Formats: sequence, C-alpha cells, structure tokens
Amino acid sequence: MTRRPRESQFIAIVHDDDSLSIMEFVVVDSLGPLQLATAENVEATIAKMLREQPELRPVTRWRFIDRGDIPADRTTRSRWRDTGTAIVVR
Amino acid sequence: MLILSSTTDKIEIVTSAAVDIDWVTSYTILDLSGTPVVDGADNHTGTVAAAATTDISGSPAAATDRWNINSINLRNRHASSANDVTVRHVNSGTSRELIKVTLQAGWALVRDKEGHWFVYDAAGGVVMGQVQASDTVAGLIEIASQAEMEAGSDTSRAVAPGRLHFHPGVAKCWGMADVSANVPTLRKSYNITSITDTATGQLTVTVATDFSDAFYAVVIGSRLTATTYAVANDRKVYVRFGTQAAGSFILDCIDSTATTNLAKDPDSWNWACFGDLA
Repeated sequence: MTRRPRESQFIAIVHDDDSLSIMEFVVVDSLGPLQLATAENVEATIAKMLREQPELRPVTRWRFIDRGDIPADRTTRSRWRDTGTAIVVR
Repeated sequence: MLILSSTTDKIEIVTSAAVDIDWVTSYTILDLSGTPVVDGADNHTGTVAAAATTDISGSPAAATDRWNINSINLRNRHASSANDVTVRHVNSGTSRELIKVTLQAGWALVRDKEGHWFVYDAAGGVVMGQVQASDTVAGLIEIASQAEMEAGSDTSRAVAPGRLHFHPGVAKCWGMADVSANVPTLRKSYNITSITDTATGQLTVTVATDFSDAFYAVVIGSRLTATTYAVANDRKVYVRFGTQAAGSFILDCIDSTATTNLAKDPDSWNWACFGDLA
C-alpha cells in the first residue's frame, strides 16, 4: 500500500497584542491535494478561524515561514514574537 | 438451430412502445423438393416504430423450403426511451416466446448463429444479468448516494470509498498532531484544513468541509509526556468552552496541578469528530 506524503505550509500569525500563533496549513493530506497555500486561501482560513472563534485576538499580519524558523525552546512559547523576518523570544 | 418449416412459420417481435426498433434477420434457404440443396441466403430488415406485433423474417415460399435462421439483430435506436421486446417463433400458427428483454435506448438484442442471445448496451458492452444482488444472490449492485449513506439503512447498495464518510457512524474528520518538537505538527489527518498553535496547551483546529451545525461529537485524547503519574505530568484535553463551531474548535490541554491546573502541551493531540456534514 502506498501512502501519499503529507505536505503543509507553516504560517506565522501576529495578533493585535503582538502575540504569535503558528498555523500549519494543510496542502496535501493522506487522501491527496486538499488546497493550495495561496495568500487568498490562507486569509480565508484565518478569517474563518477568527469568525468562528471570537476569543482569538484580531490578526494584524501573517507571513509564510519554514518549520526551521520556529524557536526550538517551547518553554518560551508565550514570549515568541515575530519581527517580520524572524521569530524571536522576548 | 431455429427452423421455419412451413409457409406460415415466421419470427415475430412484440414491441411495447412507439420506440424505433431496427431489426435484421438473416437466414439460409434449404430446398428439400429433391436432393436437399442450399438454395440461397438472405436478410430481412426493417424498423418497428409502434407498439405492435411485427413479422421480422417472412416465411418460406414453398412447403418444401426450410429456412434456417442464422441470426437476429434488434436495436433500440431511440435517444432516450426503452422498449419491451418479445421475440416469438410462430410454428404452424402457434407462437412460442423465445425471449423478452427491455431494451434501453441504444441497446441491442442479438441471437447469433449458435443460438446464443446477448444484450449489448449503448457502448457496445455485453449487458450482464439485471438481477439485483442480495445477501444470497449475486447480481448487479448500485452505488449508494450521499443521502443513502447519511440515512444509513439501505442494505442493498454498495459503499464507494469517496462516500464512506457520509455514514453517521464514520468520523467526519480526525487528526493527530505531534508536539514532541517545538510546535504541534500534523502527522496524519483527514478533512482538516489547518491547526494553529495559539498558546501553550491550546490548539485551534479548522475543518475543511464543515459540519451542518455545531452539534457534533469531538472525541479527544492526548499522549502523556512522561511515564510517571505526577499531577504535573497529567495531560487532560478538552474542547475549550464556547469554541465548538461548525468549521472549527479549540482544544485545551491542562495538567492536574492543584488547585487551578496549568495549561500544558501534550506529547500529542488526538481527535476525531462525528456528526453531519453540511
């Protein structure tokens, strides 16, 4: 049996209080292509998430990132911030 | 062999509707007036355009003639309508039914020279038996529609892989996200658009094809981060209060630290959702 390799795109989402969410946007799941990681599709997913989850803070900006851009130390998770070019711990 | 042996014998068809049926009957003529000889071969052709009984062979011209029917071809050339066709052998004024078939538009009924009957569909494929399959009878089986899958009660239709998820008893979406590295990462999922690490011990899940409403079951679990059962190592996952919507929900994970518990990441998030898709 052959399984398709998964494929996804990581996205840094900055909220209006400067807090940071990390989205994994699924491009290919185990059944095959699901969606393209276009700006339009990502914004639609973020909009859906915010519309349905009003407790999440408004989003001021987002950008595509690589998995390697995410800090290695998760104990500092609450202090992760996105500078626009890198994710740093503050 | 199918023999016409008198001047009144013939092959006829009975059609049920005013739907054009083309027919071709071919035969060999044997002359028995002296030493038996093959005296020729011929075709009869025509079209039946009404609900009627129609001679499709003609009859031997002489009492000493014998016609051997080699083949019979009947084709419904209507664009959309079916026609019930009965083929009869008339022998000395008595007709006997040979076969009765409902010919769908474009279908053909053929009797070859060996006497085998075949029905061909509009694409030229041989039509198999029309008996519906059951628990005890092999036969044709229809694919269950979305509505039939959602009703979940039909026992005579087959499930197609692409519609399995419509059955009420099947998970509509699921996922497993590993947090052993620095960020939750989906390892396996179905019908999930995205997961979002919104905070420590908090994961927002968005569904690709939404549920019809927010009333669906989320079955969740987690993987512990240690093999010891200290309160700080506990990992309890819940649907966060007030967050279950048709197309997304937030999961909370906490430990058992007294007295308010602390938000903690599990080693993995696991969830499966059951309900009705939009």
